[in-house]
Amino acid sequence: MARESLRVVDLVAGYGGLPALHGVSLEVRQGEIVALVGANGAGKSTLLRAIAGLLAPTSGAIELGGARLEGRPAHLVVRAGIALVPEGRRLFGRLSVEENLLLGAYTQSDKSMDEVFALFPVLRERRAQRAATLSGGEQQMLAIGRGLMSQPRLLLLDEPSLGIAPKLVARIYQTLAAINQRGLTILLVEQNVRAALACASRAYVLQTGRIVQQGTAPDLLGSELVRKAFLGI
Amino acid sequence: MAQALVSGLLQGLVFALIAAGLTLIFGVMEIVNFAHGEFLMLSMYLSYFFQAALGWDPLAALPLNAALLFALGLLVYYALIRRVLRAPMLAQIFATFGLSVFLQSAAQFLWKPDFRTLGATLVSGRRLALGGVFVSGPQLAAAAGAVLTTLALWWMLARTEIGRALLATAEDRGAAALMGIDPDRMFALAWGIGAACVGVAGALLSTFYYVFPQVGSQFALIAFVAVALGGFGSVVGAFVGGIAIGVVESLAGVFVAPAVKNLFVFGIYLAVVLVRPRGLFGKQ
Repeated sequence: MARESLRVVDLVAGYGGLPALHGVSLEVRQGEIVALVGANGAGKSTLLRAIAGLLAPTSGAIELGGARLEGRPAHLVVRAGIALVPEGRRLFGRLSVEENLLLGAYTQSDKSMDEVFALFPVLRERRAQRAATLSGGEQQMLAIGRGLMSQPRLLLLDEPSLGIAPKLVARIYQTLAAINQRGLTILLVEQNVRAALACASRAYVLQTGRIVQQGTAPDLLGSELVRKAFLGI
Repeated sequence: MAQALVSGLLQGLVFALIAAGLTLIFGVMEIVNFAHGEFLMLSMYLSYFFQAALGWDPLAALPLNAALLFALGLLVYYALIRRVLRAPMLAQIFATFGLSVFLQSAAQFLWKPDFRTLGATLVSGRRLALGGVFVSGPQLAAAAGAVLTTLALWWMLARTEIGRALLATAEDRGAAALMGIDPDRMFALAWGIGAACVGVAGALLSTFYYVFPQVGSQFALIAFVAVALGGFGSVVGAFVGGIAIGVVESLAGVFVAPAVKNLFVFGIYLAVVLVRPRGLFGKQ
């Protein structure tokens, strides 16, 4: 199996005894961008949190390059090569841009920020500023940059477009595409179905904890279910 | 007036160090260490016994106090606190409060309630006159030691990777975990460093303060007020809070009456709770 392939098999997970995922299976092959779309409350965040190790699943398997990761705590999952850019960014607001990036590189000996600054030049300008004082779009860029600092094999993004102006959303997605071109595998979760399907090559649709459809992005854009449920067509 | 101010400032700097240790523990894991005063008491007894049994000067033995209290902090975390991490807050309060009672009682049982003083030290018996104000050697040394240690703590938090990791854990332990930071290690480290701070303070205080089983209580109460005033979790706040209380306490003792010093200190606490609950530098 290719080193960066992620496989999730029959994952059941939830909070306080109530399952939010009822047996989810998906796959992200090396070099792909895969999108997981669904409405609010469908369980998309729960899935990413389970993969990242913030949540221990009730049953099922999570494999990266053949190694079993389910149940492993978050601080060890990032060492296995999976970085999560969480919902709402969860930056360290009281620390500076630079300190946030350095923390992203906590597991790495190479703390160089040049690559991240090349992708997001505005972060270099604001490197000494406290993260909480950045605009929404800048915060999202910092969150992505921070994720990249751990040199991941797989990058997970939870709603990267949430609360961001459409022009910036397009820029962010362009950057994600560029990073993917360089070989980083990406799984992103979105309510913004158009943006996600424009960027991804394959996608899954999650509804109340179950995968109800999957396929290539163009297929899904044309499907009845997606058009009715998300695109209002 | 100047004498009261200087005296209060010097004493306040020691309060600041004790408060800094307390606020670090709270900042990183949101647990109040009600046994903080007893850690101080144990360090003071350590200094006493180092001198009585081995002839070591408390200031020379200070690094040993810090190291032993660091170890105690780790031990308390792994043996006790870790087990109540997911318990309701009341259980956590009872855990450290129970530890406090246990340590005080053990000290009383082992070493009797007698007040002890240390013999001559490097700095005892000296007095400095600075422009009309008299400062005792031990008090000045204690203040200097406290400032150096607090500065070292601040430097560690602001300029080192491990300090950054502690601050990140304090702000959002889940996000810190996503960076690869093990929250368990950070909690243990916070307890160790918090206890070490108070260990240094104990060694410094032993040069001029009575050593007895209950000595920790009064300092702990002042530390809590300093932390509340400065803002829970803020080392800068604890520093400012400690100095403020030292000065207020001293001024109240001189201009009103020594017996009501504490009244003013707790008056500050009430004012903080009513006017600005999160303290001067506290998080929202």
